[in-house]
Amino acid sequence: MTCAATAAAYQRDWLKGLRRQITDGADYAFVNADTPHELFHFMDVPMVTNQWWSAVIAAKQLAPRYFDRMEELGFHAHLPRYSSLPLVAQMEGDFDLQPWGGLPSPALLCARASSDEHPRIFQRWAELTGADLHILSAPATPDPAPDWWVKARSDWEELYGTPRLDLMVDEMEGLIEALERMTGRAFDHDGFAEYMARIDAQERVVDEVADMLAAADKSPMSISEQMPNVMIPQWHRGSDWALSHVRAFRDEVSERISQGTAVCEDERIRMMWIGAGLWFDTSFYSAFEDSHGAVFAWSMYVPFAADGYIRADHGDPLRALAARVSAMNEQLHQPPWVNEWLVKEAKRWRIDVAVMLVPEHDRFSGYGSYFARNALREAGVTVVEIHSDMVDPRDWDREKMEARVRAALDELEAG
Amino acid sequence: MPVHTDMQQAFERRADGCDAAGRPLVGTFGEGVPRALVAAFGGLCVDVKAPPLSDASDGPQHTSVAAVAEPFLDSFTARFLHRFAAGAFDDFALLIFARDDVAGLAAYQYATELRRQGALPDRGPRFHLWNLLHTDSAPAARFNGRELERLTTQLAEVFGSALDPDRLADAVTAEVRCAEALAALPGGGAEAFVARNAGRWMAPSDHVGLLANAPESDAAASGPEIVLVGSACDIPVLHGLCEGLGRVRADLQDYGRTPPQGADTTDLLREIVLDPLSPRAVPPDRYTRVLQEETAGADLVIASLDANDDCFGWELPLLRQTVEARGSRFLNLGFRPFRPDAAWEDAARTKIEEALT
Repeated sequence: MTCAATAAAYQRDWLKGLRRQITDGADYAFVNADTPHELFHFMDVPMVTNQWWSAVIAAKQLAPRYFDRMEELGFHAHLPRYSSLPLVAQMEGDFDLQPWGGLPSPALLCARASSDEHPRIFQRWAELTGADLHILSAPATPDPAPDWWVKARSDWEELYGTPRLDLMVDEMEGLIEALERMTGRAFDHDGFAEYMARIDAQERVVDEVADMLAAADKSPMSISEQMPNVMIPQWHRGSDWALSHVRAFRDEVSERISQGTAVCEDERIRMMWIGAGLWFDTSFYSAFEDSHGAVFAWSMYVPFAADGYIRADHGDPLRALAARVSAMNEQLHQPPWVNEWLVKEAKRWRIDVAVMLVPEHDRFSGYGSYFARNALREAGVTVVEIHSDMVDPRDWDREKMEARVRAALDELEAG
Repeated sequence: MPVHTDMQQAFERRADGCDAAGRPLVGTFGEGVPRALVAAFGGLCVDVKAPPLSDASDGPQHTSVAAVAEPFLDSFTARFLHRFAAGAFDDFALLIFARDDVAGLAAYQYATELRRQGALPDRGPRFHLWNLLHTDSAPAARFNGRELERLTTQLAEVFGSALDPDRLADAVTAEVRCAEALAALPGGGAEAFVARNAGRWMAPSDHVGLLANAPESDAAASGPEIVLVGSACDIPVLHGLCEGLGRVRADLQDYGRTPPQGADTTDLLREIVLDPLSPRAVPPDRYTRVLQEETAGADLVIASLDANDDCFGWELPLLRQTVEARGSRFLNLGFRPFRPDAAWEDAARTKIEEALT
C-alpha cells in the first residue's frame, strides 16, 4: 500500500470517528482553514474545516445544486463560492443528500477576517445555528517583505510586526477561554509547547520531501498523490500518526527517486498547479502526461507546509502560532508575497509551465493573480490562466481547458 | 435650492480640482481615517477613491496598471491605480489607504507593488496603510492605539513637525461642526448628495460655510419613503432615479451616508471604531442589525451592488425577508455599473415605479 492510500484510509477511519462523535451530539467547532486549528486539536475539540467540507461537497458533485439554490435564495451570482458552499448546504437542510447525512449545528464558529466575506458568511452560520462566533482580526501587513519565507521560520517577529502578533495572541487567548469553557478543561501551556514542537518536526520532514521532489530528475509522484500525503497529516498536525506518516512519506519518495520511479517515464515538461485544488475534477492533473510528457510536479501544498508552517517558538509557542496564522492565507494570494514565492518555487522545481486557477468570484484568492502571472512569465515560465472556481463546475469546460493547456504545451515543444 | 457652485465644482472635479490654499494634500482611500489628525498637522484630507466625473467612461489608462489589473478588480481600485500612474497624485504629501475599505487594501498593495517593481516612477506621495479595526474589544483597542501612534509618527515625518494638542482640538471642533451641518441635510436627493460629498474635497470650515445655503430638509415632502442600500456609489444616480417617485429617507451606501469622525481629542477613534456601517465591523451582526434598524418604516428598500461585491451580497436575503415581513417592499436592482448608462437608468426607474405601484 502506498503512503497516499494509507493516509486516505486513516482519514476515512478518522472521519468515521469524527462523524460518530458529531452525530452522537458531541460539541464541535466549524472553522475556516486559516484559523489556529492547533488550539482545537490540542484541546481535543472535534473540528470541521469550512473549505475542506466544501471540497467534500464538491467531490460529491453537489455543488451545482447548491450554487443554483444560492441564487434562488437571493444571494447574487458573483459571491465567493469556495467558502460559501457549506453555508448554502446548511441553509438548504437536505441532509439526506449530503455527505455524512449533513452536519449538525456546531457549538463554536471561528473565522479570520482575512477577506471581507468570511465574517459575513460566518455571521450567517451563527444566525442559522446559534453557535458561538469568534472572528479573529486580520489587519494587513503594511510593509510586506517580498522574500517572506526567509524570515518566516525564525525572524517572524520582525516580518509580521509586533502589534499584529500581540493582537493575534490576545484574540487567541480569548478563543482558548472559549475552548476551556466548552471542554471543561484548562489549557496546558507546557503540553502545548511539546505539541507545537511536534508540528515543527512534522513540517521539517515535509520540507525534506519538498527538497527531494524539487531536485528529482523526474517527478516520482503526481500532485494528486502528494496532496493527500501532506494535507491529511496537515489536518492532524502534531499527532503521533501525522509525524509517523510524513516520515513514511519521505521514505517512500526517497525510495522512488533512488529506484528511478517516475510518474511519466517520458517526462519532458514540468508543470505547476497554482491555486487550491480543482476538487471536482482532479483527473485533470494527469491529462497531459501521455500526450506531452507534461507532469504536474508542483502544487502549493507540499512547499507551503514548510514555508507557511515552520515557526521557531523562541520559548513562546502561542506567539509562534500567531506568526503562523497571522498572514497564512495572505502569503498565498497577495503581492508581493505570492509572486515572489511562486517564482522562487518555479526555479527550485525547474518548472516550464504554470497552470493558474483564477477564481473570478473570489476577490481574496483572485486578486494578485496577474502579478503572479507576470512574474512567472518574466522568469521564463509559460503561464496558462484558467478562470474558473475550485468547487463550482458549472462553468468548467474540461475539453476547452485541456485544449488551452495543450496549445501552450504544443507551442513550448515547438520551441 | 440648487447646490452652491463651489460645492458642485468640488464634487465634479474631486481631487483634481482641490483648492489646497497652500496646505499639503493628504489623500484618503476609504472611510475611517481620522481627518482631524491630518488637519492638526496642517494637511488637507482629500478623497482619492472617487475619480472625477470628467472620467465619464474609463478615465486614463496606463499600461503598467492594465498589465496587473484583473478584469474583476474593484472599479474604484482600478480607476485609482490608473490615475495614480498618470500622475494625478504626484503633488500629494501622503496617501492613506483604509484597510477596512473593500477596495482600499487592494489599492494599497497594487500601488506599492507597482512601485517596488519599478513599473511606476518612484515619485510622488508616501503611502500609509491605515489598519484600524472596527472591533469594540480590549485587544482591538490596544492595536488601534498603536495604529494611531503609527499614523501620527508618519504625519510628523511627512510634515516635519510634532502634533500640537491645541491644533488637534481645533480640528476636532471643525469636524464636529461639519458633522452637525451635514446632519441638517436631507437624507436623500441628488442635491443633498452633492452637498454632503463636496466636503471630501475641501476643508471642514469651508464646507460648513457653504452648507449654510445647502438644500433644506425635505422631511415634509410627500411620497413613499425609500432607503438605499448596497455597495459604495459615488454619484447620485439612484437619488435622481427616485425623484418624483418618492422621498429617499436614507442612503446607507458609502458616499451616501456621513461616516462618523472622532468627536473627542482624548479618544479620536471611538466613533470611527463603532461605525456600525463599516462592512468589516466585528461582531458582524452590528452591520446586519443597523441595516435592519435603518430600513425600518421605509416603504421601499432599494439595493444595488457593484458587480464584484463579495460583502454586501451576504445581507440581501435576510434584509429582503425582514423588510417584506414588515409589509414593505424590497427591490434588488442587481449589479450597478460603475457609471450607469441611460439604458440601465431607464430600466432601473421602471423597476422602481413598478415596486411603488
